Amino acid sequence: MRRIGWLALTALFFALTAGIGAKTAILDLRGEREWDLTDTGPAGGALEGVALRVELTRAATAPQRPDRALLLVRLALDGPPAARAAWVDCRVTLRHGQDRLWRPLETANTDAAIRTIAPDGQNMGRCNPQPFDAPADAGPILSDQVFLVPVEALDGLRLHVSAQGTRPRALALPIAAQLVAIP
Amino acid sequence: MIRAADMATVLAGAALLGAMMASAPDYNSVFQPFPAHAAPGEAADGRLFDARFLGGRLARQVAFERYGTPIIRDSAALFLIADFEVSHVTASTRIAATWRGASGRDYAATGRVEGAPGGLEARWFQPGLTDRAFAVFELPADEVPGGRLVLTAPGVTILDSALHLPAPPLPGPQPLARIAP
Repeated sequence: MRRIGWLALTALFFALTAGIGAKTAILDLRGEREWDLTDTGPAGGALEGVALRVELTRAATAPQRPDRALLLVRLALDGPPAARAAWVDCRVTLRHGQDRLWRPLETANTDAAIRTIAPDGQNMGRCNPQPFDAPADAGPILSDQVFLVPVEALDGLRLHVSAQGTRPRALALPIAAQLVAIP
Repeated sequence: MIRAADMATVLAGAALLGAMMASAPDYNSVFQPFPAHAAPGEAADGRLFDARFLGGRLARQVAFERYGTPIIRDSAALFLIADFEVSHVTASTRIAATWRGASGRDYAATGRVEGAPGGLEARWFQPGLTDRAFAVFELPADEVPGGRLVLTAPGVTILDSALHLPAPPLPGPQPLARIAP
């Protein structure tokens, strides 16, 4: 009986050690992956008290590379400062099916690409729920992100938006883009 | 007598533990990327992308333009410009290139051609799009034959894939190779 007690105590300490070690890994996984999706319409939705609206989608192709398109997505975030601060950051990705994921372009040419495609010629910057230059009138916070996608994938794209403070919860919405040609 | 037997058991246990600790591989040796090998000219399949070694050029000097300024780099060894094709990308990614020489040494892509048009450090590879790219290495001539190009995602590649692409037959070194997009 005494021996079984020692064995049980050993098993308990082993489980505790494994659990403490696993806790960090599980929290890291929850903070990284999006598995609790809220599907919304193409106009947008709300997540953790912050409203997301798709202001503009526009895809552009160049004659030199007709197989690929630059897809501009302009987003508007709106919500009380505390809710936006709880988001911490903002992650925007595009998905097509289960096996293709696009991240926004971040190269030296990204700013020029956004200004070329945007109808107003402006770049609203990266998605950031609490920018230092947030509108003083508490209006929506605009952001621009551009993706390089194959033209054949333009139909059926879904936009995922999440943040460090919301994951594994994320918003998922269909994206339909107007295709224009860059001369 | 019983005490001597206990001491022997403890000492044997300590010796066994010491031997296990001394022979256990360290963390960096255990957790490595999974290698994916391909035959020369064939594509290797990775977790994030597939790649094929298309060909290469060897040169004593390389020339390129950085923001309109012509630049020439020379070397006491050789420059290897390795051209490869990336396809079946599953998530937007950058790619890091290493040359594993015939001796087994790993050579990182040279930073001396940073800013060259189309350079690997500024390239992103996107799902659904097949793209060509190049990596430039500076290495001794005897490390080229029998060497292979190793492509990974940048950063920590533990439990990710590393594509090992053996070099196809390469032409002899030329005095100057021009890097152009």
